Amino acid sequence: MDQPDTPPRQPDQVRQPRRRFARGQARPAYLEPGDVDRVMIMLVALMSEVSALRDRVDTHEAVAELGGAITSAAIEAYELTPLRHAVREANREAMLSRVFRVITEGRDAATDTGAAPLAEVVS
Amino acid sequence: MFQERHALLPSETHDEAARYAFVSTLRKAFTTQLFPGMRTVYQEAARPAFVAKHGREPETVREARELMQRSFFYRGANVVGRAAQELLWDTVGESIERQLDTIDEAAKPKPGDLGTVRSNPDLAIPRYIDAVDIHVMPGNFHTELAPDDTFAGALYDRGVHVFAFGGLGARNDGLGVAQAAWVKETYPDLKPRRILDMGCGPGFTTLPWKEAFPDAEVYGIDVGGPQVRYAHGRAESLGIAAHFSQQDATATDFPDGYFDVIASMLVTHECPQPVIRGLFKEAHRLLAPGGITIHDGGATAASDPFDNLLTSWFGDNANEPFSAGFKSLDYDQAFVDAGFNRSAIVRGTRDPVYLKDQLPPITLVGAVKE
Repeated sequence: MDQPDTPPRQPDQVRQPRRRFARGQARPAYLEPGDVDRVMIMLVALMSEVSALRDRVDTHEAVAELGGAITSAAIEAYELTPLRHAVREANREAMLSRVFRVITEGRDAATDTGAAPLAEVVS
Repeated sequence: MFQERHALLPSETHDEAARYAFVSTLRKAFTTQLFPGMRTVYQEAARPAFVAKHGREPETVREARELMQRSFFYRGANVVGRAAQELLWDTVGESIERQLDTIDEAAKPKPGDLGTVRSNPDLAIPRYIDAVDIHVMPGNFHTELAPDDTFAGALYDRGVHVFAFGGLGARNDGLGVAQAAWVKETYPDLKPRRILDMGCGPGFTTLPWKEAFPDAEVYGIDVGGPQVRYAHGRAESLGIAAHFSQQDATATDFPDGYFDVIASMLVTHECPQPVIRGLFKEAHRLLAPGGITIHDGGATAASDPFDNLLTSWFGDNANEPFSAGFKSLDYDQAFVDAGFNRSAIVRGTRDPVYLKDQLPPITLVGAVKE
C-alpha cells in the first residue's frame, strides 16, 4: 500500500521487482507418475473442505437473516431448512461440474456432431 | 432424503454434516453423471474407433478395459469414484469416533428389551474377513476398538446412507424390504416361525422380516461383534423385536431344522466361493422341511464385454475381490452340493424399493428344503 508521506523515487533509483526463484540446486523431484492418483484423491478431499466452508458461510448468512448473533453455538444450533438444503445441493453440484469440467469434456465431445472439419475452416 | 433418527444413530456437528452432504453429492455425481458417461464414451468414441481399426467389435473385458483406459474421461471418472469411496468412510468415521462412548452405551442390553444380543469374543475371525477391508472401509465389519464396541456397525449404518445418498430409504432397508416382500408374495401360505438373516450387519436387512412376518421370531447373525451390538441397540430404539448374535454363518450354534426362512442380502458377493457353499450347506441343516433359503445373486452375466466391465466396477475399485467368483458361481450345483434337490431351486427378481430407475432389479436365488 502506498505510504502517503513517502516521496516518489527518482528514475535512477527505481527498485527492481524481487526475484522469485532460488539460484542453486534444482528443485528435488519426489513424486512418481503413479502418485498423481493420490494427489487426485487429496484434491477431492480438499473439495470437501471447501464445500464445508461454503456451507458454514451460508449458515452465517442464515443466522444473520434470522436476526441472531453469529456465534459458534448459533451455528451449531441452526436447523437447515429444506429450501436452503436444496440450494446448497445445487451449489455443490455446480461446483463439481466446474471442477470436473476437464474430465467431462471428453464425454461431451464424444457426442458433439455437426461442426465443420477443422481443415475446412482453417485453410 | 434424511436418515430416520434412532437412539443409536450418530449425530453430526455443523461441519461434519456439511462434509457428509459433500460426499453424498459427490457419490450422486459419480453414479448419475460420471459412471453412465463411461458408456457414452465407449459407444460414441472408443468402440467405433476400435471397429474402424480392427474391423470387428471388442470381444473381451480386457479389450474393453484397455480401450477405455486411453480415455481421460474414463481414468478421471474412475479416480473420482475411488476418491469418493475413501472419503466416505474417513468422513463418517471421524464423526462416529468422536461420539463412540455415547453410542456404545446406548447399544447395551437393558431391562425390558424386546430382543436379545449375544457377543462371542472367542469367535475366530475368518482370514478372508480379516485380510480385506470390503468397500475400502478401514477395519471392515468386525474390528473391535474396545469391549462393547459398536464402531463398525455405526460406520456402516451411517456410511451406507451417505453412500447411497439416501437411496435405500430412511432406514437403509430398501433391499431387505424388497427381499421379504418377494418371499411373502411368492409363498402366500408360508407362516414362518423363525427367520434367520445371515450376515445381518447393522440389522437393516433383518428388521424388514419382522415387519413382513410379525408372528415370526427373527434372528440376525454376523461375524462382527460391533455389528450385532449396534444392530441390537438400533432394533430396540426402533421398537422391533429381533435376536442378534455374533456367529460365523457357515457354522452356527442353532439346532437342526430351527428356521423356516434363511436369507442373506448383499453378503455372498463379499464371500469366497467355498464360503458361499458353506452358507448354503448350513442353511440346509438349519431349515425345517418346507423352509426356504433366499439370497441376492444369480444374475445372468452380460453378453457385452463393456457391460461386464461396468458391472465389475466395485470389484475393481472398492475392494470386493470375491465378487468375480460370486458372479461365476454355478448356483444350481452349489445348492445341490449343499443338500437341496435340483428341482427345489428358486429364482426371482424384484424391483428395488428405492431408486427404481437407477438400480437394476434385485435378482434372488435360493432353494426350498423338501
